[in-house]
Amino acid sequence: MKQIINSIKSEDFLSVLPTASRQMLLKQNLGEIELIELTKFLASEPSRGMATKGGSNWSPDLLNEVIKEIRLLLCTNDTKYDEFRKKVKEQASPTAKIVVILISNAISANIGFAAGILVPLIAIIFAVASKVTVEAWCSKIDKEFNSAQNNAT
Amino acid sequence: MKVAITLPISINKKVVGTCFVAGANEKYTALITALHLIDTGNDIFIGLPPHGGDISKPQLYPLTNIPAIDAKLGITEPLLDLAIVLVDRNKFFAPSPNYVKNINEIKVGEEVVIVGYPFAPMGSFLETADISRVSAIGNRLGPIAQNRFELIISHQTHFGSSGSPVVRRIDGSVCGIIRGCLAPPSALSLGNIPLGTDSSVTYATFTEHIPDLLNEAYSMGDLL
Repeated sequence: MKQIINSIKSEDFLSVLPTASRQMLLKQNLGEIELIELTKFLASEPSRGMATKGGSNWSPDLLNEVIKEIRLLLCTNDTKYDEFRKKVKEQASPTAKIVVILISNAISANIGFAAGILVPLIAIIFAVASKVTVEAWCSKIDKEFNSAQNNAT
Repeated sequence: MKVAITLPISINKKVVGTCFVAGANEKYTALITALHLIDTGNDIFIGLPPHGGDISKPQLYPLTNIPAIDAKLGITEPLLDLAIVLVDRNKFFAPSPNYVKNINEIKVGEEVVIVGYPFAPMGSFLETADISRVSAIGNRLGPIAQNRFELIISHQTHFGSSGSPVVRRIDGSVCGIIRGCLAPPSALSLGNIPLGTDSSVTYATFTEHIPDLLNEAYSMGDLL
């Protein structure tokens, strides 16, 4: 799984994004930190700075939920995603789009958010992971995860 | 003149706001709404009131129930607060509007009509049209340079207005999608109903990216 993500270019993951987000990100020469900040920005953007007028609201915790699941999938051998890992390995030459969609569908089934909501966030997270290598991304996320767990206990 | 067929949308069994028919391909009819309405994006239904979402027709009211058709999420664009949902074209089809694609075609002071279902989350299926004007053209700042044009409209939005099309009065083209209104910093809310936010400064996402988003939604439709 790690090899597959590392073998796909960061830009290819960004190309899965819808037009406006893609144009915003591809124009820039972005480093890891900026991309993470931008993911947070995008994840909070739909209802930022205004009183929205509808019967439901954007979930501010969505990004954290998605990162937790990607950590399980990429950085651990948790059996929750065994079926998915098998599916990706079965792909002859998985493209960025196929990988992002398969993962969005897999995570969707576990966290209860529709896959269509997850696609832009997962595309950017994978663009970061591919840029810095999955191993480096996992190491960083593991540190944050462990630190959060220590604070909670 | 083409009109924007505008309908109420429900998510997770709650009517949450407004959407409108945006386009169609051979398989799907696509509807646009505001992404912040989508919540978890599950159990999406499009309400089909007896007048068919055509504001020019007389409407039966008050209605407590209307038929609905199931939809699925096609694509989401967090940067613009837009979501496109897809329904099976064989089950529902309606003509789609033209779009204003270049911000230079919009003039400050120009008349627009906001069509939607104000108070839909409170059980009203009465579609209304309000004439207003573009009070300013905004370019919303983000973390890096990017044109994100918005129309700022002198219009009182209500609970259920999100996702309403903003229609240019002169030719019926859709030029914006309602997001929300100016929120005073100390805005109070009762549950998720904003209180004290009755400013008439309303923000609408400009429509330049809609044609691209529609094509992307169709291509994602079979994969998600």
